[in-house]
Amino acid sequence: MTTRHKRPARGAALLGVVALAVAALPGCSDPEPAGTASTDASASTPVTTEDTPVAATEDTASAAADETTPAAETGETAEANPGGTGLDDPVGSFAGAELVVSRWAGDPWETHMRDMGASWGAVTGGTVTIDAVPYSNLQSKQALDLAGTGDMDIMQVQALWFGDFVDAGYLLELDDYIDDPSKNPEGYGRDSWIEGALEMSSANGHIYCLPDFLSAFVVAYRTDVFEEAGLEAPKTLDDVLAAAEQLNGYNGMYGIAIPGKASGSPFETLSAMIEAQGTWWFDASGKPSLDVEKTAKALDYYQKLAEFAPPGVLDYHVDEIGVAAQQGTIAMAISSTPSFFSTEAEGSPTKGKWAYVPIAFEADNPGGMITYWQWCVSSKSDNPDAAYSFIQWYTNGRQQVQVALNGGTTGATKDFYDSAEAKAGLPYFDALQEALAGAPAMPNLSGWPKIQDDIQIEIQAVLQGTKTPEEAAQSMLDILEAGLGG
Amino acid sequence: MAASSVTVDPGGRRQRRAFGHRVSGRLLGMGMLLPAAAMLTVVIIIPIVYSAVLSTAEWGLTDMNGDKPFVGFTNFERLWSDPDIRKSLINTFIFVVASVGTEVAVGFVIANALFEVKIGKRFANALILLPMMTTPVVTGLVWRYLLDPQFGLLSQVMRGAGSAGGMDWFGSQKLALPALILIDFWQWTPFCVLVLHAGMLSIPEHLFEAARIDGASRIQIIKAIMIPALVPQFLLVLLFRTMDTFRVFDTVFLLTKGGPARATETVGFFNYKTGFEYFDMGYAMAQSIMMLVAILLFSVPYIRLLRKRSMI
Repeated sequence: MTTRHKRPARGAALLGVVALAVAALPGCSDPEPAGTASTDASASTPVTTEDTPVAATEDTASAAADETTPAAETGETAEANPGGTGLDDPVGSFAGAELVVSRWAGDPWETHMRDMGASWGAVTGGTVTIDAVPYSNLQSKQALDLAGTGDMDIMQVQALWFGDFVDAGYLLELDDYIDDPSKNPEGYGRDSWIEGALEMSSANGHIYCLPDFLSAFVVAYRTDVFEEAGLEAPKTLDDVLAAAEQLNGYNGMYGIAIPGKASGSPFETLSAMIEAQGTWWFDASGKPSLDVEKTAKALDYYQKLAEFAPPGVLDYHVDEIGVAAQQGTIAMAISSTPSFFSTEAEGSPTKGKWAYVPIAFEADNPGGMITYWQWCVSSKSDNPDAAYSFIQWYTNGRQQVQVALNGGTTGATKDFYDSAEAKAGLPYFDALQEALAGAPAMPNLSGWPKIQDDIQIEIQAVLQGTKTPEEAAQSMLDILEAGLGG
Repeated sequence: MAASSVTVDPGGRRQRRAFGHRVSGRLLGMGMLLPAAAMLTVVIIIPIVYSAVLSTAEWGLTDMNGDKPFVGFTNFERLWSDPDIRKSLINTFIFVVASVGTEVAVGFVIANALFEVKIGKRFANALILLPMMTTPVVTGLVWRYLLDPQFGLLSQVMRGAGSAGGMDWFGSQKLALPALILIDFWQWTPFCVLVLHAGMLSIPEHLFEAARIDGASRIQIIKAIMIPALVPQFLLVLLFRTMDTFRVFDTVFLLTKGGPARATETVGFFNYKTGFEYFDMGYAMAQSIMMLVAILLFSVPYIRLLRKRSMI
């Protein structure tokens, strides 16, 4: 778990230095096949600030793609493809291996993953079956399966229940897999991941999963509306609040949409707001560390912003915000980055009219929390090598760029952040990077679901006016102390 | 022939034979009941007893194969001190009383109207039953968009009528539970109509004729003939709807997830959250047992009254 109270200095100058450093490193150009957007490492910036990205060159990637032959056809064994031939290739041959992947149901991600499974199978000889269930049932379905027959090989696990699964011994330790060159493409290892990414999927000193689907809550605003109204781009929450007040009712629009439904999103929004002030829910030892005063300040802003939101704020999840943004009924929004993907898609009435900035109380100190998913191998899997091969391949930069272009999420490997294609395809790429840089990951402690649920009830109480921000902030600290111990 | 056969029956053989017949008859009866009894034991009694046993252990969903330490009545003690379960019980009580009360009352009025109507009766019957046939998922989606404060049909109508905006049904602590009651009312009033209307059709026609000849008004006929004759149907409807609404889960899950701020968190939904989101299965089992006991307690009077009426 990455916990940070003082965000490292960030800004354009630092990001520029990092980008130049990345561009100057050998073998750091984007591994895109011919015919796609040109490589432009200097135009993008990896989330990490010091580490060296590891990526295959365009030449090696293309060559690898050309040389790849389905293992099922060749009858190759696992040794036939040790280390792979490039970062983009699945590693190993697993003829006859049948993998069951448990994930949440939802397109475009689900369909795209089926296609990716077929691609992986064409190379390795294995088959991938996607067992997709609605998000609200995913946790219980996985828990019941893992406690019983254990038919699943790979699970898409959220941080919320990661800790419980680790404690129960359901997840395979992946340390040896990541460190074994014969199970990975050449040049791939722990350093291939952005700083802190593998720590998000670790517990008790072991790596259990490979993360992807990184996102953060950011502020989106209508550039055309701001221009018409003579407003500057918002840099701080004070700017956002002032603009929401001014634009509320402008051309029949609401000032801003914010999440209020107890579905995780209010917690994530408040987390970004408190993190921007340098406080967090707990410290490195897992003990409560919440600053009540700063939390009350964040809740106060939350409450004030709600005054300019469409009716039904307590029923607003990121989906409703995405629809409102698409329909042009709001001038601004605070929501998760993937929720704006449909807003910016072809056919959206407001496509290209949005700009994105991170949540910040001070312009040079944005806040954020890394929201992510992760791919884990079941400790009961009959095909752990094949399962690792698939998740290693699926989470690498090249595949994650495809996921991003299809679904608006971002990967967690360095080569993803080198991709000009991803940057061009995600309008919120820069804001997301700023929000994520050095930000703490969403909590993955055992027993956290109940705590988060109770915290969201307090946020709703403030939005309803049944509690003051100060009372709710104190209640949140009490909840943390009751759940995590004083 | 019979008399002579009695006289030749030595040593009470007939009595023994009769006894033997009775015993074999009983054994045969018991034997025939055995499959049903075994089935009931396997599918009802054993799971309930097993749940009761598990409710005395401290275990999570991730400990299904592990040790489940016995903690006595600790999980039941938690029920008394947990403010969340108290809140969910209050919500459930409001939901049950409001839903069942309105469904039965309005169901009776509609059933009575159907009883009286002469033209289009079949069409009206089919139309009234439609909500009951709709799946909960579709019901949830339909109402989600009907009541949406921005894009919903109701808010559009309200705007057309001069209102500034739609009502925030699912986002308001005051309106969310009434909205769920409204949806339950929409979906399940047809059930009340169906049962009560069938009961009305079974009342002998001569009773109505006699009342009309005596000059009884419509209200008097309802009070003196219909309601007394429909008591078994009322009890049946009350029993079924009370049990159903006490366990309500689907619409809560689909529409509000218990929110906002626990305003619609019913016992059934809280039970689900405890078990499948917090993984606290021992406590969830204790809640289930509590629900079972509560349903039994308020069902017993209904069942007794129904037995008196020879309905079951």
